[in-house]
Amino acid sequence: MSSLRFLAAMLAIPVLGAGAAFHPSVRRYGVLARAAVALAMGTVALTLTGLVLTLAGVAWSLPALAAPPLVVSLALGALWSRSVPEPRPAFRPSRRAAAAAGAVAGLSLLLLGWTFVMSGATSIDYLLFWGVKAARFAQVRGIDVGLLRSFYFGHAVPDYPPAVPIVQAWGALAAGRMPWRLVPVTSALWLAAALPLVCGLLRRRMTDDGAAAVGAFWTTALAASLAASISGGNAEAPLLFFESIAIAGLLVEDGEGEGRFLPALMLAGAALTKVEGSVAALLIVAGAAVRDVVEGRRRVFARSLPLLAPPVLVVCAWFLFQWRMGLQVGYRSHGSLLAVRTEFLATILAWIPRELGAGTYWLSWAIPIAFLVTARPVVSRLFPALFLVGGLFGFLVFDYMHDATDPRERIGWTAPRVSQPALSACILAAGIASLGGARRTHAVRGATAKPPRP
Amino acid sequence: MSGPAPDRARRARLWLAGALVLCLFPLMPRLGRSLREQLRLPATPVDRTHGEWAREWLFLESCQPFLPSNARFTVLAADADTEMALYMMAIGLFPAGQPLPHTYYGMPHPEQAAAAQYSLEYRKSAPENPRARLIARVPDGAIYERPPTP
Repeated sequence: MSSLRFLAAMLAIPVLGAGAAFHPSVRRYGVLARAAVALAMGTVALTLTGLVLTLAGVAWSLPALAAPPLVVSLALGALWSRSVPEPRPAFRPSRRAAAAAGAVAGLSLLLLGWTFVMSGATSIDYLLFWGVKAARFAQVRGIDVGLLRSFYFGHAVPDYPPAVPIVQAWGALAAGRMPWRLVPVTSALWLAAALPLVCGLLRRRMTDDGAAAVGAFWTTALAASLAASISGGNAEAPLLFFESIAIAGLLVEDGEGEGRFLPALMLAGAALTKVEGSVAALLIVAGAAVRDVVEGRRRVFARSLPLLAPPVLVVCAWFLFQWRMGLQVGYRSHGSLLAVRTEFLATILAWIPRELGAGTYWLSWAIPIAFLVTARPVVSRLFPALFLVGGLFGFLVFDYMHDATDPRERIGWTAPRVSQPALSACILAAGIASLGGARRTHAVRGATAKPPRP
Repeated sequence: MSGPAPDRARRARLWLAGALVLCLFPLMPRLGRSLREQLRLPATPVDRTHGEWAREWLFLESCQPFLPSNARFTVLAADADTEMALYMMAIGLFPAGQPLPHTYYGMPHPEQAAAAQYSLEYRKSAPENPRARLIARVPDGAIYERPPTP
C-alpha cells in the first residue's frame, strides 16, 4: 500500500506543475508531451518549495509542499491559457512505423522497468546517499541540515543539488516510509515521460515516421544504458530527462522569434538535479549561442540570457540556502582546479572509450555516429548537442586528471553513467542530421537562416 | 529536410532497424537464464547488482524490529570497509535513529561509538563488549545493548 502511495505521489508531480502545460509554446504538443513539461515544472517548483519551507522553519507535509507549486501553477496556467496556441496537426506516424516504433520502445521500457523491479540495476549511490537523504528529509520533514553539516555524513556529498532527494522525500512522505525497493523502478518513468515530448519536438524537423523511429532508437539506447550503468534510484534518469528535452528543443527551434521557455525550464531542472547538470547547462547554452552567431541570427546575447538565467538562479537559490543554513557554500571540487596531473592522461584517454559500451557493445554510439557522418550535416546547426558531447568528455578528462592515483577504477564507476547525456545528445543530433537537417551546401548561410518546415 | 522523401523513409527504417538491434542486447542475457530465477522477487534493492551489500542490507533490516526507532547505535564488522558500508546504509534505513560510526573511511572513531546504546555486530563471533547484553541474534549477526558508560 505504501508503494502505491509513493507511486501516486510521483504521478502527482505533473499536477503540481500543470500550469506549464498551458504555455503558448507548449500547447501545440500532445497531452503526454505536455504532461512531461508539467513534470519538469512540478519537479523544479517542488524542489524550490522544499528549500523555502526549510528556510522558513515550516515542517514539510504534503499540503505544505504542494500548495505553493499549485498556486503558482494555477496562476501561470490561467495567464497562459488566454493566448492562442500555434496550431499543430496531431502526431500521426504511419500505422507500420507507429507499430514498430511503439513495440521497440515499449519493449525497451518494459525490460528496463523489469530490471529495476528485480533489483538488477539499482545504483549503490541510491543506498549510500540519494535515498538516504530522501529518507532523512521525510523523517525530519525538511532538509536535514544537521545531517548535511555532520562530518560523518561527508561521504554523502552534502553539497549536491537537492532535487532528487526532495522528490523522493515527497514520495516517502506520501507513503509514510521510504519504499526502498520501489524507488529505483521510478527511474524508468523519467525516460518514459520524456519520449512523447522528444518525439513531439523531433517532428518539427522531420516526418512523423522519422520522429517515431529516432524516438524509438533514443529510448532503446538509453534504456539499455541506464540498466548497464546501474542507474536505478540515482539522479541519472531525471538528468537525462531534463537535458535531452532541452537539447531537442534547441535543435528544432525555428529562429529568432521563438521563445525559449521549454529549454530554459529543462536546464533549470538539470541544474537542480546534479552538479553535472550545471556544466551541461553552460555547454548547451554556449552551443546554442555559437550556433546563432554562426547562422547570423540577431540578438544572440539577449536570447541567450533567458536560457541561462533559470539554471543560474536555481543554483544560486541552492547556494543561498547553504549559506543561510551554515553549510559549506558551493560545490566541492576534486582537488585544486588547476592541480592536474598528466601522468595518467594516456590511461584516461584509453579507458573512457572502453567504458562507453552502453550495454550494447558500443552500437548505441556507433549507429548515430554513422548517421551523423554520412548525413554531412550543417554542423553549426547541431552545436547545442555537439557542444555537450565534446564538453562533457572534456570535463570528464579534466576531472579524472585531478586523481592522485590510477583513475581506472573511478572511470569504470562513473564514465558509463556520466556519459549518458552525451549519448542522448549524439542520438538527437544524428536524428536531426539524417532525417531533418539541411544538407551542407555551398551557400550555407542562405540555406540555414530559415530552416524549412516539415 | 535532407534528401528526397524515399531516401528519408529508407533512413527512418534504418533507425528503426537499429533500435530493434539495440533492443536485443538487454533481451539476450535473459534468454539463457531460467524463468524461475528471473521471476524470483528480490529481498533487497541490490540483490542482483551487489551481492555483499545485499547481505549487509538484509542484516540491517533484520535488526530493525529489535531497536527503538530513535536508537543511538553503532555498527561493527570484521573490517573497516564493511563497517563503513553498514554505517552509510544504516543512516537511511534507520531514518529516526542515530547511527554512530565506529570507523569512518578506515579511521577509528571510538569516541563516537562509545556514545552508542546499542551495537549491531555483523558476522562477529563474539560481542565487542563482553558486558553487553544480547538482545537478538539475526541472520549474519547479533544486536547487543551496551552497559552505560561510567
